[in-house]
Amino acid sequence: MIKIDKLVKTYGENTVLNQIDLEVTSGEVVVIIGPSGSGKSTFLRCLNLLEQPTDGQITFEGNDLLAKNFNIDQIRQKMGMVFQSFNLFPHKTVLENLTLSPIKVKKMAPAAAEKTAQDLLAQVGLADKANSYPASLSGGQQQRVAIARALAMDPDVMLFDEPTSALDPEMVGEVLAVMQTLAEKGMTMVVVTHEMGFAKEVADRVIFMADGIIQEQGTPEEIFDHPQNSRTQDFLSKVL
Amino acid sequence: MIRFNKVLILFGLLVTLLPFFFVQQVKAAETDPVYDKIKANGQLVVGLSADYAPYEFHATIDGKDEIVGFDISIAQKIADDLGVELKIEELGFDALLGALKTGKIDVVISGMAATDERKKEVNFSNTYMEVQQKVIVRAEDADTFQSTSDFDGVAVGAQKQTTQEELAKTELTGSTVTSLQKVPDLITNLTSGKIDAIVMEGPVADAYVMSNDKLAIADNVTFENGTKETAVAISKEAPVLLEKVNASIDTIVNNDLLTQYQAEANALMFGDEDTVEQGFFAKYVPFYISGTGYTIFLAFVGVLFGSIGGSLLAFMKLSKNKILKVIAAVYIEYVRGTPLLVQIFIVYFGTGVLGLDLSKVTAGCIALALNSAAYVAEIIRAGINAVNKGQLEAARSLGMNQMQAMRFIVFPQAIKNILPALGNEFVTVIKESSVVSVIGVSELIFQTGVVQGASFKPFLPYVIVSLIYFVLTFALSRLLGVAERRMKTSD
Repeated sequence: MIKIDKLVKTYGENTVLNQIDLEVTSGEVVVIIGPSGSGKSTFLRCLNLLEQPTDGQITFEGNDLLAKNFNIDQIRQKMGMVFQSFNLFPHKTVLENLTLSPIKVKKMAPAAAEKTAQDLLAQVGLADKANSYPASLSGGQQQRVAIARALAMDPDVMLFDEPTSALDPEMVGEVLAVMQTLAEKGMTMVVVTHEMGFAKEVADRVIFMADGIIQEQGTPEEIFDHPQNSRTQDFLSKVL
Repeated sequence: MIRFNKVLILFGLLVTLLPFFFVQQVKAAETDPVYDKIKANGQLVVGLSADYAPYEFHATIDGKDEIVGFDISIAQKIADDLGVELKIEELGFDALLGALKTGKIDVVISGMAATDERKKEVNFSNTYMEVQQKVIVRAEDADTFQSTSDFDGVAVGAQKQTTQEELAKTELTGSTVTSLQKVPDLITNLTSGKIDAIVMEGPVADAYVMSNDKLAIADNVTFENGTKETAVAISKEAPVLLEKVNASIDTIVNNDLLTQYQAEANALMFGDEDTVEQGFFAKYVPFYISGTGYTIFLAFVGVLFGSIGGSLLAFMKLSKNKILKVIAAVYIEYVRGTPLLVQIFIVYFGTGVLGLDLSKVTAGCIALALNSAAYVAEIIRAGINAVNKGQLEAARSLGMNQMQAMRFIVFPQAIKNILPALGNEFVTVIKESSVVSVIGVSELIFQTGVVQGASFKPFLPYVIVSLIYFVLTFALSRLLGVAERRMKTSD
């Protein structure tokens, strides 16, 4: 579904991503772990071109995203994204956060968009918050709304950029639960996270990134129980 | 040498007059563009600076504000002789010749002396009045000054760029000259002791001395070149009009009509002396009210269109297109780096040169809007930049294009940052609009000048106008404060 070839991202002299190759297949849940500054978030943000890659190739559902004059807007509809800092629209109600893009971008009928939005809110357990403003919600609730907002566009893949890092510990669980349900329903997911428990339980494949390259990848058992790479071993000994 | 000069002058005259002969021959005489325009419109547009009693000043006649004075009587006579209506256009004295040359007005009748300097720029009619320049001093100093040689080290005031300024510099030996724009300001300086004498035109000096017993004329001080020939200024492209005006002036001079005009003007100036003393406020409140109205109107229109232009500039500056970016940046820096006064003159006269006939108010509004746009652009840019970058990213990640993301997500949030700053800009423009008075838009400062000229009170009108400005700006900032708090609570 997503194929990444020799992806490079540099900021001036500083090479953040160095020749990364990766293929994500449909329905797969890929979890990326690694120390801070290893390039995980940059990598994720390159996938929907929020960061412009310096070199390499990204193919999504047969489209070459880095082709000249390629219209990324249509592809982004198919790639939902959840941010560390939620980024809900503060001037819109929860329901409007969910319906805005379907109505304006996909030209959905408002009634249909609202119906979908209500269903999604029910799925994330926030049906009663439809008419609240984001500022009145807790962090966990906001992040669940953000997930529902991304789902409202009916994406083929969901990108999660450290979705629980900005949350108080007691709220992490509710967000992870929503993500787990999503994974179980067969959604293709690429998740950057520090939640090792989530990685172990939900991931089909775990990728360990450090220094801008993929150091090691494999099933959760392979990575967590029998890490081969010394960097992986070192990292896991610190976080587990 | 002298002979050579004469030849030169003759030659010069020939060269300047040649086109006129030529034009007249071709057009079968009796016509020129300015004269044609006057006839076609059925009105003669006379430019003047109506703060110069008894030449031209504002007076309340039958409860209505009118511009009166003997220059007005002369203008009326000329208009009557031409068989057209008289239209008065008020401008700052400095702006008169510019307005004449750019065709904003047809003639200048504003107590203007026919100096050699000015003759290079425009033609003058025959002289309609010769006046002597006088020196006005504080009453207690009247005996101190006996001749032009008594001014060594004395601070002398005069109106900027006038015959009087020239005289003060050349004939009052040893004096230090202070040049100001307006006569009332000079009087204030004199009464407060900042200067010790003012060189002034005879009739004006007489008027001030008559209305203020703290002032006196130093009678024994007489100037060698103190005779001023007052005449009507006319564009060099209007020989036919010049001829017609000269005919009217000859009638006035030959029949001694001026004496009658002056008597009328003096009567209007001093006839209602009692009411002046009784009811300064009652008499001049209408001036301040109308001035306040214009000031608010100017500020409102200025900021409104400034906001539209400013938004455009802000988007140009935020765009990815280098050319648009540079254009906006240059405009903003240029406008913020030059005085509003200069911008106003450029707009007013510049549009005249381009053949656009803008009214003073329109020109004032445009200048303010163009100026305000630069400041608003920066306000908007800052307001947009203050919106969290994540908002734009979230919008883009949902498939919105740049335009949609700006329109639905960024801009509605930026507005909350922008509105309070925009309110402050409105307060600023209220104050800055005072500069528009130079092209004769009758806002507060202009009306203050009018009141000064008509009341012979130089100081009080300024105090009043300062209070009006303060009330306007203070009330507005309070109002904005309330609005801002409202917006905060809705978050």
